[in-house]
Amino acid sequence: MNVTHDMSMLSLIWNASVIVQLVMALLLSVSFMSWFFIFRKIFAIRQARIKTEQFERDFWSGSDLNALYQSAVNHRHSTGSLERIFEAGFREFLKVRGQRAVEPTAAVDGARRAMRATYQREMDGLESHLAFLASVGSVSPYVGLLGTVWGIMHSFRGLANVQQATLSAVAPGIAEALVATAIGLFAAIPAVVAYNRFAHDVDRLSVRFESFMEEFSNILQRQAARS
Amino acid sequence: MSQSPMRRSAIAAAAMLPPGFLRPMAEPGLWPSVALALLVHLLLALFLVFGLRWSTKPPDTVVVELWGAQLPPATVSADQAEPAPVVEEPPPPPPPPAPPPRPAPQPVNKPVAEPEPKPAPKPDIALKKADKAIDKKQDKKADKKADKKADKTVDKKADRKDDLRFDLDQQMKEQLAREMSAVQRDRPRADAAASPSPSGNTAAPQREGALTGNSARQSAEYQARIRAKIKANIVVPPDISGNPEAVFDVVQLPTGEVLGEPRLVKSSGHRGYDEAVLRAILKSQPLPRPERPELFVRELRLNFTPRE
Repeated sequence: MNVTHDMSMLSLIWNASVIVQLVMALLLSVSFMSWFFIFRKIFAIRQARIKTEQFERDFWSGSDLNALYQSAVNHRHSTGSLERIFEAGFREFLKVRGQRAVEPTAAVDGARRAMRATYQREMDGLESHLAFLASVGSVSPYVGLLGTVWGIMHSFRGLANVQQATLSAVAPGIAEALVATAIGLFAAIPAVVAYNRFAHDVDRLSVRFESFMEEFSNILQRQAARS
Repeated sequence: MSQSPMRRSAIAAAAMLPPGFLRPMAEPGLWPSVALALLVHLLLALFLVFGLRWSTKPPDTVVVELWGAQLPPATVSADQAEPAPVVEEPPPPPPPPAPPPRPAPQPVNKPVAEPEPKPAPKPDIALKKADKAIDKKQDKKADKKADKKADKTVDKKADRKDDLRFDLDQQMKEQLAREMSAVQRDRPRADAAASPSPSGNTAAPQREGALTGNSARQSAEYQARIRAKIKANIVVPPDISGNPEAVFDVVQLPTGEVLGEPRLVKSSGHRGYDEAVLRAILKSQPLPRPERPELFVRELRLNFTPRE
């Protein structure tokens, strides 16, 4: 007895039961979304790093704070995160210092608070969608497994009606069901890798932002004391 | 009171901020990301569809019948060598339709041969002619037989695809044509040598016989190895007398596993010995496997004697 099955990938997907097909469709869309976010994050984080490096170079090359501030205000639509933090802090500093009544430390504190707020906002932007990648990475294998278990249950139920239980009676069903797990893993593995990579990159950026904020506060403090 | 205008101006200043100030910049690369994600999935789909060919279709089996007028045992060993239809053989060139290697007299060749000055005396020529006539008859018979057989062989594979059959047929014809031309080419030389000896006539069958004899020998050796392994595990009871023979039928899997319980066909008359052999068979799993998978035999009949 030569049972020949056409077991190409397409026929496997096509012949699967409805639940398994639904699971596969869900996983495919999730996989697409996660890849979309992976590429977006790659672009965003690379750009953030380039801009941060550029601004750090400008800042520590000893240029005038007022000139830096002016350029940040003028090119508001192409500034990086660090530049926006600087802009918010310096704006607050200038504003508070303009009021004669307050003491100099208050201006530094205000600048620090403004920078902290901007920093939080920037971090939020950088970390956006990372949670999605994390959930895809942890959940989609289970969803794929659900489809597989369902498909295997299905094919074993078909086995009950057969007089002679042969492997070839269940093998196609199991192969179909396993496609769901394969798709789930295909969605999960890149998502987990990308999540870890991006979390690391964002952490490094945040450390840079925080140290910049501390250093800049010191500079402002000195300026406030001088005036 | 004096601070209120100042506060109002601060509020105004905040209101005057451009709208993009508080919002982090939009993330770059929206459409490139979409395109890249699509590309990744397209690549995956292509890989899955074209890269992986899962097929449980067994490769087409080609059953080769070895036949020759003088060799009845050849078919027997060929049958033995193929216990299951799934045994795959490399598609061999179809069996040579056994054209006698001796000159096949063709009318076309006669003019070629005749211009040569023949110093041989007349009686010799007459003898040769007679020889040729016999050869011709034999040759024709063999050819016809070959064709018929080939047809039968091809017809047997009714479940085979048409194109395959056509292919086989074609191949056979080509082979035949090639052999014929080779024979024709060889003929003048053979004529010159003028030695249509019977020894030369039997050379080919002998070769063929050696070939099938080889597989038969390997098959025998395979069974001998199985027996030897089982024999080594038999603990012969001490109180046995004479040399009674116990015969067992054993069904084995291709892995050498014994399927079910070996069946006692002929008892040795000594219960202890029968059981010892049975235990030895079960203990000898997995049984040795043949060198070539075609030689595997599913059902074995093994006989054992306490003294050998």
